[in-house]
Amino acid sequence: MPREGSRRVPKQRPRDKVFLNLPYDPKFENLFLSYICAIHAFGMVPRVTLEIPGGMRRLDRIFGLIQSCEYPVHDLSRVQLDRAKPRTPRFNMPFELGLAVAWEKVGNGRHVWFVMEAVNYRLAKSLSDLSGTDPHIHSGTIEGVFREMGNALVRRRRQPDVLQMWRIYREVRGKIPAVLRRCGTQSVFEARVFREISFAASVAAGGIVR
Amino acid sequence: MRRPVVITAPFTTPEKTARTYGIPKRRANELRKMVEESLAKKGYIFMKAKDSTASRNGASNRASRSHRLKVKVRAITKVKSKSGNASRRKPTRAKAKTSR
Repeated sequence: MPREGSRRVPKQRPRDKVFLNLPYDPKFENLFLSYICAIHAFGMVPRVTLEIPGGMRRLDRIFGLIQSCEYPVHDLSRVQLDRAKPRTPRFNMPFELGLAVAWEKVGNGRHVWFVMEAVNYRLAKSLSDLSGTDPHIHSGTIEGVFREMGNALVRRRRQPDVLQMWRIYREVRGKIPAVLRRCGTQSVFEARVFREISFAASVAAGGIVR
Repeated sequence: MRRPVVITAPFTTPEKTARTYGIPKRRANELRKMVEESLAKKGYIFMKAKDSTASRNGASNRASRSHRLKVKVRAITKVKSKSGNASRRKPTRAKAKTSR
């Protein structure tokens, strides 16, 4: 154990990063934005797998990102089969949740993960291994995401309320066409678009949450 | 029911967010300006109006403010003096009658 004052004492990193494990689906765009805005309202920085650049093996990169974030948020609301044949459910999100749980058990113990769901009691059926864990039910709405993020996280100073999160959301929503035009794309599920939207949310949160 | 997590980390600044994401300074400034202007319009923040002459000639805020004040005072006194003199002004002479 390194003693304080010695050179080996590691510098404590601020615990301000949130790993977002969400489906990248056009139908999920509003909730994706609402998660980004809610996290910035709490003065933290969201990280997603979209940001991961090419080069390394994808799984290693995802695990590295999970390790670097202290608060992973896993949205398991998209468990239904997709339309494209062969019809399959999405396993990525439960798998990444498994990685986060494993890291909490064997890592430095500073991980606190949250599970979000849209429907009550569905998690007990779809992932019964998590019985005893209460998921946050957002009912698939933006307001629900804001409410549940407010239930999951607390700040002693500058605790944001749902109205402030709505203001940030509207502010960011209004800037999306300009950002998409500049990035030459139609989708928000791209690395550059995510970074710019998230930065805009950070500026808006700084002005709105006081 | 899960207990909420108390966050003790300081509130992240936009500068730090830009550094985390690797957003170039220029683009970050553009985005920041865009959002701040919109927030100012809605009255969430107050933006300071830039004094273009002061920024051009490098005058400090305090100096430029005192300069502006002096100009304002001068303008007020001028207006006052004008209105004061108006009552003392001589009435214009009537046109002399011309006899045929």
